[in-house]
Amino acid sequence: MNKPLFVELMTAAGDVAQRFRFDQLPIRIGRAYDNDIILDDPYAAAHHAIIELNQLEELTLRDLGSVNSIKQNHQRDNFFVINSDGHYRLGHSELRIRSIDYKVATEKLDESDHRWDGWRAAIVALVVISITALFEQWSSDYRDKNISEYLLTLVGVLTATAGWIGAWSLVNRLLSGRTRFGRHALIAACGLLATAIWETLSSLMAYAFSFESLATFTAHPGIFIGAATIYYHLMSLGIKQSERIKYYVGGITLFASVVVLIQNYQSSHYLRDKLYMDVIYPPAVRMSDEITLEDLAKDIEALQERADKDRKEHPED
Amino acid sequence: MKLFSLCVVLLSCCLSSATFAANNLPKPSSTAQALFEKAEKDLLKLRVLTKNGRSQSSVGSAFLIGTGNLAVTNFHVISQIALEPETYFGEYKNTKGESGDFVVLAVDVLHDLAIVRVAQKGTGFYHIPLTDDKNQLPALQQGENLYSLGNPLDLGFSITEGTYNGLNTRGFSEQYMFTGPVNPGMSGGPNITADGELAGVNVAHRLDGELVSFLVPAHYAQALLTKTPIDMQPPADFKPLIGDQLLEHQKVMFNILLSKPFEIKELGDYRVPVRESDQVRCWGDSDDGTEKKVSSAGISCSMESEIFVSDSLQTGHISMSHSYMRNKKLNSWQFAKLSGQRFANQVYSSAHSRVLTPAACTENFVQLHNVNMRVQVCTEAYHKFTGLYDFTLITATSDDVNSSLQSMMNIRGVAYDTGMKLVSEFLQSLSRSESNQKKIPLQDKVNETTEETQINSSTRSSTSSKISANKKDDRNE
Repeated sequence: MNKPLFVELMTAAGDVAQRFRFDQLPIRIGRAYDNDIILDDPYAAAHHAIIELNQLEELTLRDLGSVNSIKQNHQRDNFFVINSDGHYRLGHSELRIRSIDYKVATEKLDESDHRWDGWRAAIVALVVISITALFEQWSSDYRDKNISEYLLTLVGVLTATAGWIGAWSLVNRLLSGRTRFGRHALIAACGLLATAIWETLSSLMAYAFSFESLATFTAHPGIFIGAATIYYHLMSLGIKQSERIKYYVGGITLFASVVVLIQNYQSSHYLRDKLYMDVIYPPAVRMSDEITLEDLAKDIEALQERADKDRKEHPED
Repeated sequence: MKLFSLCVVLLSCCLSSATFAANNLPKPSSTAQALFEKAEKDLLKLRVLTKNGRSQSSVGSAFLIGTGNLAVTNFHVISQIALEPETYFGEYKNTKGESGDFVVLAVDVLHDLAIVRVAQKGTGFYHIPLTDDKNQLPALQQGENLYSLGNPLDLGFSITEGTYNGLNTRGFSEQYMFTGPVNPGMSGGPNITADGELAGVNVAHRLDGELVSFLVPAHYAQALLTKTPIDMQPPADFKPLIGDQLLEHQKVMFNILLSKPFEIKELGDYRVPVRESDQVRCWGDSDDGTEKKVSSAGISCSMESEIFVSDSLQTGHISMSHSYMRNKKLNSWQFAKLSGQRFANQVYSSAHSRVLTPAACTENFVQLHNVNMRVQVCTEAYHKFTGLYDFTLITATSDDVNSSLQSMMNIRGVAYDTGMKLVSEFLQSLSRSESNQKKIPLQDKVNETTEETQINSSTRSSTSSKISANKKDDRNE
């Protein structure tokens, strides 16, 4: 053997738990204390396997007559020519074997912007949340509300969001040891801001261009924004299998939307969340043309067929 | 709603105290005594029971006509049998305690009458000449004593005394006003003159008044009896029959309503259509918003009668309302938001109704004579009655920054083309007052509007007037 060899003990999640360097072959693996690598695994044999070179100078892993033998990709065998990306399962322990000249992948581009973290982010979030809450309050201020009512709303909203952010920070702390309060605060603030902007913008567009659907299907954009917010919270936790999170969140979002659709259909016979567009904006917002009374009469005439179609002989059933 | 329940509570309180004081009251007049002796023999108590479990669903009264086995009662007493014969059946009991099953033969939904057949013959006390000539019935004079018989609150057969007070013109089918006690359970019972002649049939009383009761005039019973042969077989299904009667009624009713154009009233900057007549009455209100950032005014009109088909279906009704709001101190964004809030939640889903189909709606921005509006029209068909529809129209002006008019019209039980015609006439009559163009500064205009709208506010003693059908709902037996 000419090159040093590394045997890595893996965790179930695919991380390296321990790494051993060897300059000599063979390497013995098993539960007994006369092995080179001692496995604290009741499913491993006392002398479970050996790493050695075969006649073709290839690295091999050979079973020494254990009960459970060796598994790779759920295939059980007594002999493997070692693949440096393979995980070999001895009992319940997983091993990866690489030589010193293993070609590692190129480094990833650091896309995380660490300015969006810490106290600066927390302050930006606080300001965004406050402004959003105060704007909502002001929009519906039809009487002379005094400053204390505004402050009360602010305290209520800030307390509620602080609870949400705190919960995420706690989970983050448990999982990765870091709190990242600022980042979670910023994500929550963005979610809140996006909801407020979408609500206003969508109903404005609906009113301006007679896009009634924008004003009557209100739940789904909300669900989507909520899901996106949760996705970013999850991504900030530093979980390894971040690829899968996308699909989990996507699946749950889709499920929630379908539940809403079914609920709406059962309660109102329509899929939409509101029976009609009920927003009103100043006249300056209107863009598209009004229809004439004759056109409306035609629309009303068409309703008769729809109403008749839903008639049932036994509506009780 | 609170007023409604209050009335009912008061009524039952009075009744219980009356029971205690009964011994101290003067004896009934000898006329009533003499009448009851003869009249009770042909008096019946009707009960509608569920086939499954024989539990009581409604109780009313009836009376045998002539010496035959036909009895007259109210449609609302037996409506469940007519509409759901597979679930309900009827049982009668006379004053001697003899009982048997009854069969519904004919109904007149509009006048709330029905003919049933029982296994007992009358003594001939209640007699109606079987002709089309209603002059053969007794002519009534205002102030004349009348006597109602029946089974109030299912407590036992009773006779009550009151006076005849002319026709009630608030409905589309005429009813007599009887100033005397008519309680739930007496529905379908006879009302007779001091000579023992049939004057009418007990039908309803007002919950918000004292002793304001209503009778179906005897000539409607006469007309229905004339059309009902003594050996008639009951129809297999009453629903088409009821549907035809409702269609016929809506034609008459809306012909009257459509016979002349809507009246136009000024409301703020707008001219709005209303229909005020004997049958449809209007109320106004206004709030100059001294304490608030907007001032508002409104008119609402509603027909005071409707047709009882079943507990979940009252039809043949129209109502309309206008609500005007003028901005005083809000910015245009807030004012629009407030308008939107008022516009929301006015139409409810009828998807779970057993009577109506789910609402089919259309909504759009519509250009009218000189005003632009957001308009939404919904219609529902009746599952069991062909050709009848409900309409809901709501509108909100969309072309003024500082004033908003929102209107609503509700029509129940109308033919489709008539409904469409009403909707379009209503919309055509909505306009902006030409004289009030936006020349006047806002502050002045606010004052002007306030004065204007105050004219529309009329005093009214009660918020709503409700008529209760005298049917006793008693599910305990």
